[in-house]
Amino acid sequence: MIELNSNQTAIVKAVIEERGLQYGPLKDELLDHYCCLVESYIEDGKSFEESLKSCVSDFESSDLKAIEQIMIQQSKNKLTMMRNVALLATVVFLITSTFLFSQKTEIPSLRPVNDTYKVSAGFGKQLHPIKKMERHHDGIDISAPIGTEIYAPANGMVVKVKSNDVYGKHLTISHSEGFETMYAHLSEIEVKTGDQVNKGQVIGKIGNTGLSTGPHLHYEISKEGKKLNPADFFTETKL
Amino acid sequence: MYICLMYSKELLKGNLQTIILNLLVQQGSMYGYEITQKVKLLTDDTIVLTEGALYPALHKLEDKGLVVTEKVKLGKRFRKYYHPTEAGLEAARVKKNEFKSFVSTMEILLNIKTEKA
Repeated sequence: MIELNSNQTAIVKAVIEERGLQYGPLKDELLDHYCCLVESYIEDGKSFEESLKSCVSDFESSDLKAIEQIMIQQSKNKLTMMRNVALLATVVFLITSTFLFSQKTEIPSLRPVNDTYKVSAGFGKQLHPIKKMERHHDGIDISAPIGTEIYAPANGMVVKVKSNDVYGKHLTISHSEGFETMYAHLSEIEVKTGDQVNKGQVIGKIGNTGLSTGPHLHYEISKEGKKLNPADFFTETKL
Repeated sequence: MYICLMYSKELLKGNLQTIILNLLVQQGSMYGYEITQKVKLLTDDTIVLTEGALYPALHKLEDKGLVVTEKVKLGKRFRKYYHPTEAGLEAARVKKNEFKSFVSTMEILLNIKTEKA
């Protein structure tokens, strides 16, 4: 089997270079292709020069520039597609991260009343202020003047707005991860059932409705039905 | 870009990847010039693939992951061998069956019978 020597290969390479091709992978493949073609002519009995001439006239008819453009475009399309996939992946990551991050703000963290106003009754065992009996206080009380704004402690949805003799005007917000917050003895309620609320949004105003000895907010936090100490969730306060 | 003595360009255009893939499946591993020579031989010079048809098609098959390549040094030049991947083997099988089914359908539509040897 005939194989071109280094000089002959270099001559074929020079012929290809004369065509002004830029795309490396194509030039390499064409070099092997045309060397094989020249070798086949030599095997048919032609000299190297005659074989090269036949080969040149063969690839004169091939529009090498057009072939190069097709292959460059294929590569560009692949790069564009890869770039688009990378971009899409980045966007999805950012959206997912934002969503995951925002999920964290749905757990109660904001103090529902400005910290100027102190907790007047804590969570757990204490003497009932009206009935004077030991009770388990399911939330905390924050004393503040009537009309003081109450803020949603996290993003959530209002699931109950009611009024009764015990809690007076009260509402419940559902948050993520099974958390719920309840606000009782309100003078005004600024939201309605089904409303989506944002952390820090004014949801009502402190009052003295229901079984209450003075204007205050009775505030409860529960997770999957279990009452928790709201003071443990005060990581932020509205200024 | 093809030289074909008997068939129109359109007939071949849609089947070039099928031809190349199935050849590679049969032969295992081939380089560009070798593919053109095999097609020429098998079709008795009826179909002659030019580099203008072949190399873009091979490039596309590689982009699709249907073939992988291996460069072998041959003196002062490199020879690029193409092998079908697992996906390429499956694609070759699917495309071959699709073509067979297409031929049967066309026989019915055009009311022609293929003469069996």
